[in-house]
Amino acid sequence: MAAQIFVSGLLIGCVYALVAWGFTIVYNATGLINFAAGEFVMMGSVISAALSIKLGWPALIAAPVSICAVTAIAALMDWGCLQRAKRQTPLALGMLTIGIGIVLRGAMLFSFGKDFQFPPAFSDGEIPAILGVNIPTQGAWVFGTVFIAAILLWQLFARSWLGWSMRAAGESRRAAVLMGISPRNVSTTAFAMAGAMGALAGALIAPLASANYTSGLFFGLKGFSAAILGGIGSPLGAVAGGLILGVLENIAAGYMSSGWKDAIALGILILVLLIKPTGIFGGRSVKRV
Amino acid sequence: MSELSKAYRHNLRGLAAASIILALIGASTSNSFYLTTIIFALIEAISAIGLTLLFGFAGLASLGQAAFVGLGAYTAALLVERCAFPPIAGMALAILVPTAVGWIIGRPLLRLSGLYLTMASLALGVVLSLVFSQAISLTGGLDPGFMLNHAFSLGHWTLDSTKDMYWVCSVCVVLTLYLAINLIHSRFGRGLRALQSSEAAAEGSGIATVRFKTAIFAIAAGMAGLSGALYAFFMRSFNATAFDFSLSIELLIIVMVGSLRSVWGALFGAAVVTILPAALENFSDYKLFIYGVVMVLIMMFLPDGLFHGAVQGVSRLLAGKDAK
Amino acid sequence: MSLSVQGLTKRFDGLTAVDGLSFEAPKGKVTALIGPNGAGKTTILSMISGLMAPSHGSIVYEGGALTGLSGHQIAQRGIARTYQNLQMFEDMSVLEAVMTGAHVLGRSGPISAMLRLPVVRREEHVLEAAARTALQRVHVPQSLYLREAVSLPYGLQRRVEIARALVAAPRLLLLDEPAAGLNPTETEELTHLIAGLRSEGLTVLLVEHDMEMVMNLSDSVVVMNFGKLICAGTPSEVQSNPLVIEAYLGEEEADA
Repeated sequence: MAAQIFVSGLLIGCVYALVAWGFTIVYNATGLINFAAGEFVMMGSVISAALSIKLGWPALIAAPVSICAVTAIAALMDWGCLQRAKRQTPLALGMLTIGIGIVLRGAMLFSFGKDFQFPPAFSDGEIPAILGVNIPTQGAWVFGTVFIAAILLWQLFARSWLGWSMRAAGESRRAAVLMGISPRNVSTTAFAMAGAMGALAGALIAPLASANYTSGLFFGLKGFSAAILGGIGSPLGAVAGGLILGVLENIAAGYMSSGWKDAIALGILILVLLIKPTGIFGGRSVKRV
Repeated sequence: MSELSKAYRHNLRGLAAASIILALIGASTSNSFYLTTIIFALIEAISAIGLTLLFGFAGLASLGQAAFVGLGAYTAALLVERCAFPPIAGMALAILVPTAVGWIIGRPLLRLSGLYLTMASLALGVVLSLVFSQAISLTGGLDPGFMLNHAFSLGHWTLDSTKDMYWVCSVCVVLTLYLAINLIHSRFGRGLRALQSSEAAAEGSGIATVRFKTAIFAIAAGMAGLSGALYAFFMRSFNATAFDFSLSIELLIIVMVGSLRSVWGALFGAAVVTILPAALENFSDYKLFIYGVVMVLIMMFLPDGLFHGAVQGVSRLLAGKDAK
Repeated sequence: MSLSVQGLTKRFDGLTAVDGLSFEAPKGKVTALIGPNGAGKTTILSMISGLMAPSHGSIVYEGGALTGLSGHQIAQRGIARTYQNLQMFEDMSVLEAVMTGAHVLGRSGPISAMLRLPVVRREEHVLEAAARTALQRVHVPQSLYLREAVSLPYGLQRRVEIARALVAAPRLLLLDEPAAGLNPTETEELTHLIAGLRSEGLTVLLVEHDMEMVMNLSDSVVVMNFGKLICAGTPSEVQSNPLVIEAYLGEEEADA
């Protein structure tokens, strides 16, 4: 029983981890809080659900297409709106991401309607229980995909020029410019990555949690909570935070009514902020110069 | 000696003008739909005035104001319905309880800065809205919600028609504006504004920054509580969805669309944010999208708010030269 | 003794910015704190004014310890400060900015303010008068009083900042590179102003790079480098000290 709760918690935790990581990438590259992070997840769910349910596309095609679409939208969001806003302070831009989140939600509403959709899992069949723990088939996809994605991303940031330039731009804009790195491109890339990761999370979880235009808020909140729990600015922290949050939430849901479950994430967030704002893995100081 | 008080008197004259306009609207409008829309705008404006002081003047971006609105609504409703309090007392406590809660939460919360504060206020707001929806025995939660059988009344006068509530809300808005204007043009008000530019220099001038932040947080909470009470008395029947995160966002948008620098912007922003969706009613499914697009455009190109932009535009037209 | 600093130390994550510094700033005198860039001077001012807590050491002013007090409590003890990078209040007129500096002269809180009680009305008059006096003292033209403070040219903003520091009648004034960015005429006016303040009994702790000003104005000079004291004494003593010359050798050649 405990093992089941734990594993189910890890499952949703993987989703939170992706969202938190995407959120962290944007924060590290630009210093911005992307309040539309949850909407990326929502769009990943809704678009892939629409493609597989209304157009009958197989899930393994619908999902990547959906991810590409959201990636493009996220990049456009930065290039077309954030970079062109008159006031470039973190506060003003943060508020702007709130507004863009509303636009995205509205777009999904009139494009795909209000219904809760349950797209099919990526593959059929059932997985036999292991050690008394039941995982839905889609759950295996979640674990597997997130694991691979995590490794790829980790390699990207540790070893590729793209990864280095993003880290450089995040540390010091001026130095990055002097080295031929364009902060604007880094920023757009960061948003694109966050879009891709969020959409991946959304497409993966939609068969289990449903797809609906209103789901963005809670995914966003859980993502922020996880990122802050793990230590804002730390990708490792984001992943750890996501997994821990998923497990804690599930434990709470097991013993309290599920209505209160969501309060766990927020309660944890508040506690962390009050006791150790820099989160589990420390992380860079909040004041960005 | 009186140049500074000119700005104060200017605002007072504006207040008088606003009162007259509100009175005229009240006297001439009987259409229930229009009145209802305006009432919603007035109710939100009161919270928005508080948030303008908190965010616009003191620079504290709170994403949790809806929690205080809900606290005020349920306080008033519970006291009047279950404890037989006279409505005016219910309203008074609807202001005092959120103020006290704001003060208590504020002390630890406001030691956090910038982003962390926003996150914490967001979390707090959502936690409280979850409490409202889960504590069904107290609040009726989401379903069936709360049913207020008593209308608002002052002494022997029952004020339960839409027109009556319009007058009550107008009076409350004028009073709130008066208090806010007074606050701004005072030592406390200057201290708030100093906080936003340089906390270091504010402390160096003898301003106890944490105490100031807590005080304005509490005041904004109190104003939100008043909004909540008015909402409860007007709607008579309401549920917890009214006080969720989207209300906090809406209030923030009102302030940003209106003006970060002026409490008048709160009125303007509330009008835009309430009237715009009502006007877009015909577009139903596209409503949210259009609303979002308008907000995004305003935030991108008029970062000081629509009201501020309008004021500047008008002054430039009138002066014929750069008005700054 | 007005201000007494003993064994003051500040460590940041492995970097020791200030290391066991001790000096006195006698009452009614101008004490200058000088040293090459990065010597730790602003850090010392920040510790005295309460923006930072020392890692070690004590700061005593008029017999009472300042360590552990918050910035506003220290301001309430009669200590005022100007800042190296001009922390001027935005979205306020010159007059309002200086009136904000006079905060401690008032008493009213938010409730009395909202209700516009008579105490608030009287207070506004008092604060405005004090602000005008302070602005006249630093020779800011009256025509500029209602202009937005941050829209003024740098030299004038500096003066407004000094007015803001003076308006609450402090007994100890901490000046952090007040002459930076000023032209020779303005610097001379500043020197006269500070000398005038001294003759009224104000204690001044001056951090400054302009050596002419420092040597002409100061009663005593404290020289530091890399967070440590090098020497202290009268301007002439300090000028002829070989350690000081060595510390400044690079600076002098650059400045010459």
